[in-house]
Amino acid sequence: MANSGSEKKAPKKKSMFLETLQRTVKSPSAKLGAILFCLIVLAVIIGPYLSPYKIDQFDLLNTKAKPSAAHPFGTDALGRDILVRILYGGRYSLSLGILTALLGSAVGVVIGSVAGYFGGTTETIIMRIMDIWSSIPGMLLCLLISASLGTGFGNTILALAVGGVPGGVRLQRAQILRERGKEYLEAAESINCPKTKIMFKHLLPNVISPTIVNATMTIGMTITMAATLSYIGLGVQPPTPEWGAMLADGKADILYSPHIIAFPGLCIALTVLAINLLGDGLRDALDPRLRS
Amino acid sequence: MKKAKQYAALIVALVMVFTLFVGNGTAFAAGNVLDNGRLEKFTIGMANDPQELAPWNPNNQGKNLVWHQIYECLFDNDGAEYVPILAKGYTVVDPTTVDVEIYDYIQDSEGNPVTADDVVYSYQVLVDSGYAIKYGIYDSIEKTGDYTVRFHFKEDPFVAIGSLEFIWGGTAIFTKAAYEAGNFAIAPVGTGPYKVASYQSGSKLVLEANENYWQTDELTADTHKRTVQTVEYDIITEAASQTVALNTGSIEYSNSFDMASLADFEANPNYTVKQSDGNFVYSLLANCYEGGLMANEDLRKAVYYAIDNTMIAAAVTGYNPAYGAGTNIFADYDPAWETEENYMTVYDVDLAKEYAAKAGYNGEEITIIAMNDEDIKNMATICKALLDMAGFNVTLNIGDLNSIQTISNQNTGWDLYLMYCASGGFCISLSQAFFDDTINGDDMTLGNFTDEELRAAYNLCNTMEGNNKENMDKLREIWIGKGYLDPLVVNVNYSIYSNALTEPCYDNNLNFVPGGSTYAGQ
Amino acid sequence: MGRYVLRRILMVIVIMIAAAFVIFTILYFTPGDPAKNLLGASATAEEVENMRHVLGLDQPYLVQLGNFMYNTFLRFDLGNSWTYSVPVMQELGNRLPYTVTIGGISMILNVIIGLLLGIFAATHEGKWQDSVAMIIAMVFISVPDFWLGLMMIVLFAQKLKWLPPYGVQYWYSFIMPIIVSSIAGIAVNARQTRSSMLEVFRSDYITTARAKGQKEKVVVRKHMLPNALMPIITSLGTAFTSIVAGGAVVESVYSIPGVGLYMLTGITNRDYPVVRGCVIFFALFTSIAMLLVDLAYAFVDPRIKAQYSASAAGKRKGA
Repeated sequence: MANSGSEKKAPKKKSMFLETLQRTVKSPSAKLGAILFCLIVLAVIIGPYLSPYKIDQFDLLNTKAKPSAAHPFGTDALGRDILVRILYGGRYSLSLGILTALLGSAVGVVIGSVAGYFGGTTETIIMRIMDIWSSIPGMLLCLLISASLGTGFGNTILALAVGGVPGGVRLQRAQILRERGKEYLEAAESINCPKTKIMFKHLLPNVISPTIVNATMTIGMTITMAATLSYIGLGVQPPTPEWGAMLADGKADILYSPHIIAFPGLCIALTVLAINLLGDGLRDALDPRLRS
Repeated sequence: MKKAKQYAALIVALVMVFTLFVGNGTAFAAGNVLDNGRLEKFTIGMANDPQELAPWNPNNQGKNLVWHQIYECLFDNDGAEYVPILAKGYTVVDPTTVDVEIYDYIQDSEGNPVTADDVVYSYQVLVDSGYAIKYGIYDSIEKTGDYTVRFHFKEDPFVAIGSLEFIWGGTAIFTKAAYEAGNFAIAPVGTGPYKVASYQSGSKLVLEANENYWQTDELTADTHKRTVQTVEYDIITEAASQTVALNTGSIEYSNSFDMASLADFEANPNYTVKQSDGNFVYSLLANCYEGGLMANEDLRKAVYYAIDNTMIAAAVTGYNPAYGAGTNIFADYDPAWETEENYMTVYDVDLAKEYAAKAGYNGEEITIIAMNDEDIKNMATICKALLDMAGFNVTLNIGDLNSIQTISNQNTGWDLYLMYCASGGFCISLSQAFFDDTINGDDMTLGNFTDEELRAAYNLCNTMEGNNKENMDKLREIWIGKGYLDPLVVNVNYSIYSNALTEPCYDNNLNFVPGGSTYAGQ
Repeated sequence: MGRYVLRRILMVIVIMIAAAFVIFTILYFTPGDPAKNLLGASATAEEVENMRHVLGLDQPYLVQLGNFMYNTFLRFDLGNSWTYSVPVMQELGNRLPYTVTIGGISMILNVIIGLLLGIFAATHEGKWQDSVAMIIAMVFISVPDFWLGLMMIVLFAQKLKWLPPYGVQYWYSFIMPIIVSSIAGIAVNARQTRSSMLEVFRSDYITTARAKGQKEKVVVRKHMLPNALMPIITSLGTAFTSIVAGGAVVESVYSIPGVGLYMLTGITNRDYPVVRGCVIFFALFTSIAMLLVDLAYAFVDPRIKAQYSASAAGKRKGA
């Protein structure tokens, strides 16, 4: 009974996607999350073009200005418009989150699938490596890798993705294990279908949903983690207006110009909230036990 | 339901009690002067954790603040002078041999007497530790009597400026007995006016006046006095937290606070705001390595002309424009430099473009490296914005000090280095970082060039005799002419303190000395 | 069971050695010269080289690695910190109480508030109370902790003057750090509790219990909660380690001399003994916590116990 849902899945991907989407937005909180997320994405894509200010346009006569009609979110320590920086920065923050989640999950899926499907010594070796990997706390590993690779956008993605791999591998392996004894796999094996083909073409689509949910949640977590990295002095560095870097820049001014740090912080919170609401909805929609 | 109300009442009551309890700490306690004339206690905010308190002192700003209160050296540095502290004075035997006699009644804070043996031992410990920096001319030390030692140097220590800055003025003297008995990293025993009462790294350092201080009151230098009984250093890394702590009275002195709070404190009659010129110079150093982008003199000048020092100083609070490789508190600084016309005083985008065209600049990527300090980040951002406006293609590479130092030590991978350096008393000592080609071990300066003419001029200026206006101007002419570096801004030191403190005292490195200061009621 | 425990302990040792190797190698390839960092920019190449010799950094990779492994695992010595000049073990011991105080109390708050919130939401599933509780939890997760920490300083220390903005001097110095470090955990626990409660909700034995006509309160307390607790216990082990290891940010915001800040300065100062020591300590901590959780879990749940011995037997056959 527990797996009836996945077997009922329609063969065509598009309809499955639509079905999931429909089911996701049925819940009001997920709907809220989806709308919020779409709005944020739209804003960071279109927003910068609508603003009269350029991203690095500084104005030393107008530094740390409080929010006003000319600068809805005020200006920062160098007199740059915070709104336009937030909009630009959203591109970095969102892509940072999404790319990290994609990278982490992709690695997790591949390794986890190999471990789960092939089993035996391969599995043992992989899982022991994962044990070692996860024995070093994620945040710590992230700091270390960030320090050794250096700062910057690409390196930060790598550093952030590394900590999430063991979790992803375990999740994927557990899903595969649950699915391994199914008849359709036996059938595929019996017609001498190559193992990699079975794994990626038949098995994966049926076990991918928890990973999708996990990846969604990772996006939000990554954005806050990136902010923390920037605060510590690693992570994305100026002049890139990544939200975390903006927070780190504004921390010196929290007493007298708290708006410099408040707005990027609120944007992070709002975005992460939207993503998590969406992720929750997605989980409920993809959970076979909740489908009936 | 009744129960819920009871709980709510309890919580409200607890919160009220709590608020009363916590809220009473905010009022300023007036300084309490003890019978012995010392202030009972003074609390200072410290932005950098000293980490450890061992008797060497190369590279930690937090440790710098307290080191000279715990330890003493044979001499103190004062410009080019060596002021005798533990030493009574020195006698030059021959150009490379100097005798030093110490007082015969020195004792450390535990009462152990200090003899010539201890002096020799202290030097030996430092050399063995690997922390002996700027020890190039030091050869050996030997005991010649109970209270006399003889130094052997590789060259005459009184020719170049500051040759003995570390050898005499930065080498702590302690007793063998105390050093072997305990761990100086957390419980140091020095001969200084203060001893460590307690130390929790990362949190708090408490100094207590050394009741065993050896020197007579008449002979004690100002910076070695003990006008406070207990000095507390609270380690607070966030500038905002230090501002709040200053406001609520949990610290009484701070020089690392939110600059935006200056006006508030200036208006508050309970505080004094003190402003003085600093000893840090922030500059853009070009990587002149052969074949590199910045090896082109015209391109270097193009970049410098496109950067406006005044604008950077205006944008980042707490800085003044720089006019040379030094600040106006240095002995060999010449105010006439401020009116000279060169790329430090002139901001001219057209001229910059002209130079760029002459250099054949065609949109190649210029990489500026800088460490991730708040102010430096802002300076780098402005430099980039100004250079972008002048048509340069600039990338910033900002990272932690260690990564940036690693990159800057390489020949490639960077074009401009936004760096800072400081010195105790001379522009020429500060220039060492830029023009000394003996540091990096590859016969090149940090900017990866070798220039015989510059080296000769630098070496001449770096001597006691040669350090005059004429030679300094000559040196300046060379590096500005070749465009080796572009000093941008110099720092201004601000400190805020409660009115319990009336006359703050600073040492040669501009560190605040609480024991030498005067307090209300004294 | 005894065999299983032995295997697990053996595994912990292997993990420790491997983690030590990994961390050593990462640090070896991290840019930055610890010797130069200790001496400052004005030190000459010769002086830096001398310092590298004193620190043992001039030896080849394998020799350094061998020394490190020997000292760590055979002499149980994590070495002396380069920047603190104090044995890493000693400093960890000094700093651990602060981190554990904050981590431990946050943990307790996480469990209590998280559980209550989760149960509350689950028992009101689909109603507005559920949505409100879960949205509160969501908001808690979404806020970056250092941002919250700084904002709380502005409010409680600057504006209201209720709490000190830094330090460990008074008991109430710990209030803000504890709130900041527990808030995300509360949310995670609340969500975890809610979803495992709901899972139990739909299970057959609850339907049976209800069908028997038991009161709803009894069903929740006697049947649902114990079963829902299982996955929560599992997550606690990791949660605690992450609080201990992830305390760096909170500690640096509030200038608390804890282990997290120690490790952080170790990284920025390239103080290899400190970083290695912290990693080994955290890895040991994590492994033991996971081991205890697993054992507790196996002990509590007979099904798992059976499964463990079966899988252990299976693996033995496989090997």
